[in-house]
Amino acid sequence: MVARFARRLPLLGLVSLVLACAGVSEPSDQPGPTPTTVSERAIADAGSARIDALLAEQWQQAGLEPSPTTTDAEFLRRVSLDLIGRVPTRAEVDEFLGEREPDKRAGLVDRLVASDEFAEHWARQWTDLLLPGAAKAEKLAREPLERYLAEVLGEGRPWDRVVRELLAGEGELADRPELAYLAARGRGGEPSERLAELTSTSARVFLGSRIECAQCHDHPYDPAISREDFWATVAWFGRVQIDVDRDQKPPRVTIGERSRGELRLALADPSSNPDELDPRKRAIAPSFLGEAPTAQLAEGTRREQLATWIVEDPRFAAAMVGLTWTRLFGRGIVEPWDDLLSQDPERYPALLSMLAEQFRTQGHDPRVLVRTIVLSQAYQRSSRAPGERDDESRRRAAEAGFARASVRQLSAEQLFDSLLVATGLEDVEDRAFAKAVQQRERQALREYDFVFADDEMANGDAFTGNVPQALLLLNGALTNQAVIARAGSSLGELLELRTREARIEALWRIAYARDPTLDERAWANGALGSDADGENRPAWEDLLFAMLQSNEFASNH
Amino acid sequence: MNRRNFLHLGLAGLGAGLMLGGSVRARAGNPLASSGQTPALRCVVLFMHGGASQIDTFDPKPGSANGGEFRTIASKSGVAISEHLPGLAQRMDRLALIRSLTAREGNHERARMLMHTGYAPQGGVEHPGFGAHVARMAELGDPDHAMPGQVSINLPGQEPGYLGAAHAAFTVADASKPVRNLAPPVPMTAARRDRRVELWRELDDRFARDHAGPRVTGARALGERAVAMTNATELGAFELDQESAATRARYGTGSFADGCLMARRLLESGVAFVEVGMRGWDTHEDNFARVRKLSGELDKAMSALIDDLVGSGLWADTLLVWLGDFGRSPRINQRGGRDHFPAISSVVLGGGPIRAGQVIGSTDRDGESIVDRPVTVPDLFTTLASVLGIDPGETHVTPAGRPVTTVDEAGKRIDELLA
Repeated sequence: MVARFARRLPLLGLVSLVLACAGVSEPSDQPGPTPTTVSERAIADAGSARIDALLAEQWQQAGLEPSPTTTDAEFLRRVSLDLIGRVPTRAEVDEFLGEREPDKRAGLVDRLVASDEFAEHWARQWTDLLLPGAAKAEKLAREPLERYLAEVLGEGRPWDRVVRELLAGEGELADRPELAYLAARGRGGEPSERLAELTSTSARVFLGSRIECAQCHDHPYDPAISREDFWATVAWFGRVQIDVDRDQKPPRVTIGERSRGELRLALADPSSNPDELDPRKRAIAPSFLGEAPTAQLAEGTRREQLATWIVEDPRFAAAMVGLTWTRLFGRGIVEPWDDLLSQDPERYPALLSMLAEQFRTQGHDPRVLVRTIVLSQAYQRSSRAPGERDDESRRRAAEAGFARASVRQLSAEQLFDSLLVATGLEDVEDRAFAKAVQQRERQALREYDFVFADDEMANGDAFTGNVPQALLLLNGALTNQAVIARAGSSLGELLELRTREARIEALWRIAYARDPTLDERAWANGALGSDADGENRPAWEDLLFAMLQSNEFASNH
Repeated sequence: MNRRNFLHLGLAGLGAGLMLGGSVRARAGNPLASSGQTPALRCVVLFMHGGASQIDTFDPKPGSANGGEFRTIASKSGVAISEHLPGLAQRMDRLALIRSLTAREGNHERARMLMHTGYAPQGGVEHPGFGAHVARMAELGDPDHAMPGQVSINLPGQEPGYLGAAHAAFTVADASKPVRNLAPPVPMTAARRDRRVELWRELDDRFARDHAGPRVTGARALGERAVAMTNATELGAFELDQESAATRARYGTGSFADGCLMARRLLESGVAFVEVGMRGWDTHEDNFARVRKLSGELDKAMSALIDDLVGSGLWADTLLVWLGDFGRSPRINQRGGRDHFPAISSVVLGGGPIRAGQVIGSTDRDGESIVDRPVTVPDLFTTLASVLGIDPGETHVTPAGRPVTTVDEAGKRIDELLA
């Protein structure tokens, strides 16, 4: 939900309490990093420069001509969608375009990264990745996990610590929201299958490795992960105890760790799942994707050992970099980002190795990583072709080499939040109407979530969309009701401007976060007809409606 | 650019590397020509989400410890099936049964992808759902048809992959609830609606000039489909209220029953591919009570659907397919459940050129292994494609430039089904 409607609940300093209980070692008593310190800026700037040096070399080798740099307006819109999940407001466009400081893009990024909206937007994306399909919409797990992630992203908590907390925590969910990651696997289906899903998700998100096919048969690619290896990795979760007491309202969820016991399975028949009556079942000894645990890892609970192994694996930082890069460019350095299992860490592309190394040494702060990427020249390339001559294969090569920005679909949340901003719905003065719209919006978001229910990290060149999405924009309540010019709405305010010229300019800033070209001004003049002195509201409404339907609004480019 | 021009152009461009020459001839090479049969024109898939127990439905094992609680009944074709499918037993003479489908994917997500595309998931290629191939064939035959080429009911369906967004399924989240957003929420003259659409097209044309690519064309194609649907005369197909109480009672209640009824109405209105999902088959515990209840709903709705398709004459050129994620373990676990068992599952087929009344393949007395005629998923999909007049060996080029065939070339057509 949009920040303005759903204020985050205060966390009451639970985080430090949580750590004390869990006995997880903290480096010191220092408070979490404050947003973008001078040293973080220096690290990020150096990283941005290295990205550009590496890419320049690749472009030269591949004979790619990079697209020109984005205009300020293009940059503002792109970085707002990526960092805070919505288009900029007209006031934000006015302010940024009016700024005269030479490093105003860096200043903008610092402000965005430090905002609550950044933490909320990225927490939402992480939650979508971390929860299994059925639990994504379930309040019991979703609400605490999203709250926890917004908190840790807001304070820049080191990501290795976050992963430890997600994997190794114990206690009550009511006190420790991060336990939602485990609690989401508390019911539904076969218990060993739930743990298998938890293991597969952890391997995918934290190690960029898809291993789930080895659940049923040996992984066919290099390096081979056998079915035995798969279940031996699941075995690290073999002692977790997830109790859900549904007699309590809300249900009381407790996560514990037994001091003994092993995952017991029958793996003899590769086509059948474990069966508790099966005499062939046996205890499965834990190992890490085929590697036996080393002596120095043999400390702490099973899940603590697993967490230690994960955060020390070279794929850990590479996965974080690959995922973040994919979110910001629409495609991965290694494509797809979760295909690291078949890559030798010694032979990662230089760009990936460099950013992974920086992520490790700068203290695993996701915000510094984001800043490093978005202030590179590569991120700031236009999505237009560099010259007159262009065709499909040139476009594809340029986008694959990060010499040109891709046109990316907005996610459900990005589109929904952007529609609210562009129509000014939340500022409408008619209270009864606003209330009705608020209710409708909640319904609409559920609707958007369903019809947009796709994997937002899908293949770089695939377009995933469907007709219900298009119908929702064309015939949905939000687009149709919210473009109506009312007191306080963006169109209502726009019509208070005196000249038609000024109104057209404001309309472009509202819908497209930029100024219209001369050609577009003439076109808009024609579209508005002769009777557009402010009284012909339907003409303005129709134009705004058409703009909200358009590809330029519904994509990040 | 108007819709008609756009769709003609868009369909050619959207296939992301697909050659128009191959597309328009999609129906020309009839894979059934050698047997002298006519392909089916449309397809309805009933997908058992979670994986139905084959032993408790179409491959019973009376007398075995694995057989469970249910008894069997003789069907009209002579083959014994579960006592909880009496309606289908009466109609088995219209259906063919495969008892020996074998696969290796036991994870729901991966198995669903396999059973929708015919390919096990692998990095690098986004295989389209089978429905997208059927939709593409239909849309190429009639590009001005206002209704979508495929509709997926109760489940999200499978992405159109390399075939492109123009062939994506229209999804109906729950057949028991009204389909939303088919008309504007505020009263508006047709002239004003047209005006908005015209403005939108002009804006999109401008943007496309310097932002070409599959996303831009894909979103535009979907927008055009939404506009066409909003103006379609066939939208009544989504309105189950138009059916009599007697008809609705024949199908039964619940979202699967409503989905089957909607499927029938959509097929009648010219939609080429409809998938109806039925949830609840992942019976790791309490298998028998749950399968008994599910069987009741399935039996009623599927029987009514068959009767109506036969009654209207559509049955002669409609392919019906019943399948799910995978089979379930022959052994009954401690919680009275059955677990995932991809090695064996049952598939039911009917309509079109399918030779009804026969059983293909068999399993041993305990249902633990296949003794006769194993059928692979590529075999099945080769057959489905052939039945619908789709060339299983047609080569497509993925956005990454990789050539792939419609169906895995390892698949062999199950000739007995068509003989």
